[in-house]
Parts: sequence; structure tokens; C-alpha cells
Amino acid sequence: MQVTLQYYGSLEAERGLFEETKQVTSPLTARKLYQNVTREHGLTLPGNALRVAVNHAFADWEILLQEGDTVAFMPPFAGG
Amino acid sequence: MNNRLFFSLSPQPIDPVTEKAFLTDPECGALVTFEGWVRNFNDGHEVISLEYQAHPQLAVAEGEGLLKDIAAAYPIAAIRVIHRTGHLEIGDLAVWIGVTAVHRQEAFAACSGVLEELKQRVPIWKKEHYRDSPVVGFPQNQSPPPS
Repeated sequence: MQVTLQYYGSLEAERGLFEETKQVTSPLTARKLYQNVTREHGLTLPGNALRVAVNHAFADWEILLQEGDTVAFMPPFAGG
Repeated sequence: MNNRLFFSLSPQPIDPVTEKAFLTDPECGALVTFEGWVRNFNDGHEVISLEYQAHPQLAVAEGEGLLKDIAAAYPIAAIRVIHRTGHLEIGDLAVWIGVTAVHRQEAFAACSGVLEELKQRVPIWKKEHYRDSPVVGFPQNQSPPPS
């Protein structure tokens, strides 16, 4: 299946891009997807420092991803 | 969301006079506003400019949610929040908060509460450019709770 990944904050700088689409094997959780891209691209932020959103809503890391999902990886916030 | 509670992201400069005009209310005796400005130093570096990035859908949804929570906790009349996105220079207005109420105490408390909640809940990130370093900085308000 195909999913879209978005990298916010410092993750965008680490990955070198904001958004990409990937072909992944189902079933796949958001946690496993982040572990995969961390390993693949050498990202340094651990998953437990992040929050994840799927299709523009906060999600649990154990959510099973579906075809066409947009998965946003979000470091700690810095607004205000 | 009704007209009493308004949360918005803006890629354009914020005009406090324009924002304040939305809150005019003859039944209110207090308007408390907060302006967050871009500061020229942070974490031991001289900051020359910065960029705010937001998750647009989630930031507005969370912002509207926190305004509802604050309005439920304090007897206020209205809250208006505008947060900048994009490139900002030193002294630029990064966030504007306005709270009206019958009396000042709840307006002060609610305004402070909005800012504290915003920092924790709303997915916005800051990228700082420093004079003494080619490396950009990504300050954080706190570590988020695990999802």
C-alpha cells in the first residue's frame, strides 16, 4: 500500500524534505513506520519524543495504517 | 465554533488594532491582550530571524479545542487568538491573544491560560536562524506526552 509521510519541525531538517510517499507492506503500525524511516534515514529523534497524526488527527502509535493514509511525525511543539 | 471563540493561523503580519476591533462589547469591562514578540536572543545565541511552521488542520482544531476548554473554565465573553506562520523578523508579532470579560480578573486568568495551553497543545514549530552559527535551532516548549 502507499502512504504519505510528513516530517515537521527538526525532523524536516533531518530528513531533508517535508513530505514523501512510500510503498509499504501491510499490516503496518505508525510506530513501525517511524522505526523503519529512522533506520533508513538515520533520524535521531526517538519515537517516544514525538507525537503522530494520521489523516490530520492525533493518533496512537499502534494504529494500523491504511492505503492512502497521511502520517505526520511531530516533535515537541514550540508555538506561543 | 461560535463567534465568541476564534483561533486562526496567519501567514501575514498581525494588526492588533484590527484584531481588537473584533472584540468590542458594551457588556464587557475588561479586555486583556497578550502580544508575543520575536526576541533577538535564545539559548545563548543571537537570533536574526525565525520561521513558524504549523500543522494547519491540527493546529486550528487544537486551538479551537483549547479555547472551548478555557471558556468552560472561566466566565469570559470572548477569546481571539492569531498565531503567525512563515518568516518573522526580530520584533515581529508572533502571537496575539485577546480576552474580554465582565471583570478583569477572569480576563487576566483566561489570557494566561490560553497562552500556556497553546504552548503545550497546538502543533506549531519554530526554526531559529542565528548570527553566530550556520546551524538552525529548533527550540521546544516541552516533551509531549506519549501518544
